[in-house]
Amino acid sequence: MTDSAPTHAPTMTKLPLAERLRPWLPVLLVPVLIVIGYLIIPSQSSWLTLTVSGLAMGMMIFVIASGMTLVFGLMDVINFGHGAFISFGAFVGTTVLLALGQMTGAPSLLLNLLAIAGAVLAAMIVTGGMGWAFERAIVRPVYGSHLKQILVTMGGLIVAEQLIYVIWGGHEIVIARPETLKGAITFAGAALEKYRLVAVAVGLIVFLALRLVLRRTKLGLIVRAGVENPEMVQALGYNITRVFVGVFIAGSALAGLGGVMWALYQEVITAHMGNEIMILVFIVVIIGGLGSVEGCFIGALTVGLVQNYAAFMEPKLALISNIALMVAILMWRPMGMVPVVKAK
Amino acid sequence: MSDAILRLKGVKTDIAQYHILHGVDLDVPRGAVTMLLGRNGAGKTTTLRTIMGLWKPHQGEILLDGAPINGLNPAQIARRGIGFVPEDMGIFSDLTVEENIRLAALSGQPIPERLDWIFEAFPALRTFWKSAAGTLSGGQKQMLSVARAVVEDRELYLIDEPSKGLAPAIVATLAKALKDLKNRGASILMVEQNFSLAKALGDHVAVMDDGRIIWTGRMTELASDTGLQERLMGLKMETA
Repeated sequence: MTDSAPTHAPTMTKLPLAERLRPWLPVLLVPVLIVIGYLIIPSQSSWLTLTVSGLAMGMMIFVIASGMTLVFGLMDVINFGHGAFISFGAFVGTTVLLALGQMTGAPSLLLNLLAIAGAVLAAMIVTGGMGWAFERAIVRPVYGSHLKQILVTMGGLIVAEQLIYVIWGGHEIVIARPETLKGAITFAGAALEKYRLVAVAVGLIVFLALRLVLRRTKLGLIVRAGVENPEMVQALGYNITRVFVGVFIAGSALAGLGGVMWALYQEVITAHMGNEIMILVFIVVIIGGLGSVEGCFIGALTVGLVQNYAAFMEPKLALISNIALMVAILMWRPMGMVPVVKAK
Repeated sequence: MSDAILRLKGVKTDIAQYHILHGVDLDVPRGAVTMLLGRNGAGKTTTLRTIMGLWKPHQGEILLDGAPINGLNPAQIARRGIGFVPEDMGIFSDLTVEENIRLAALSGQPIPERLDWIFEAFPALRTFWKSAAGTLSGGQKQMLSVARAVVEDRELYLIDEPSKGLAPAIVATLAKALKDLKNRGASILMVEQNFSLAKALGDHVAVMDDGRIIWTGRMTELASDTGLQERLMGLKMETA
């Protein structure tokens, strides 16, 4: 063994442009879809309306799915109970909004937004708390076993749905949007619903906030590392169990936020609404790349746009459009659009 | 060995239905490099992972500076002052080299002086500082794995086969860095199959077989006795 070791100062070569662009291809998918929509939809105003509608829908699905993808990526947990948090969030939020009827009925944007903020806060606290209890009582005993996770979280979902029937009754509840968010604005000849624009803004804020936390903070660093190799994160001195629980709570709270947004989008809520949205959520999480927030964001927008364009062009096609999208994307990128590397 | 920084007493570890460690007794002296040698499957990696808390011993005691650590989780053990370089390097491929290093600095940011030393020992890490760790070569990943462990002062370093699968020139770079770490008075317990590297770095040796320590002594003693090497590890001494 010699002491005079070579330094191995490496040289770097510049990759060809196509190679450098390759990781960014999924990002181009959304603008490409929008351009395709522009080319195939005969009316420009219809295209604009459908595009905003698709983006709004995508943003709401992203808010709901972002927590789930992190939970799956970090904890390797398939949580079918995620739908329960959506429903609970919607019911709690709606209850608060109905109680604040004077604020939501006032023609004041500030009062309307304060009422929504109150509803969102209540929904996120309740679903965050539920997430904590769910992780401790239902998920923790089945870490490492996907089959058991599916069974027990599905059971948890059924119990949660029945709890909604017990608390709020079996009937659906109609919830009107706050006064200033009703109706639409006209832009370039297209009617753009005010609420959908708000949904786009909220989704964008959640995405940027999540990205900021994940990319710019130590906590985000721990979460990203934990998605890849939780064991090594522990060996570096970080209590991964606490991070797991924190992410589960945050993911559940985001589902609660998404539930409130979805309730105001549909203007009617049912106990099984979360369960119904979960199909879209699963598609988004899978095509995005399990554990990837960026992939989830692109996947959600893609799903929202495809569903809206397809429903307009051929309503019957809307039923299978997202499944077809999933098949196409998985044939292109079997690990999802933004795959997360997992330690073996 | 009176001044042991780490002491294992009768440690037994099972993995699933397999009994891997059958009662490991080992003292790791402070401020020296102890090489843990033995055939494949002897239990060396399991010993390191058990010390680190990644596998729980079902019997026995592990003492760090006299305090038991075998009931603690890996994060608590790491925070007691153990740096770990696993056999598979444990690099976070999606994180940049900088982020890998920053994550290992428990106190926040890496100490500049320590960072300078890392860059001096492993210039490649400075070059690829902002690159995803997954794009590094095998040797550079191993350098990063070692750098991550040494970015802060630790009571003890557990290093598992740092030379595994690496070209001789890269092994030489790593050996130089580890020797420098040793000269700074670090306590190291290292698993190594490359006997030349083990000889160059080791002060003490513990040889394992079938989940037990079968021999301990000074490296000079083992290095000078080819018969002992062959008896303990099946080595034919063209490497001596």
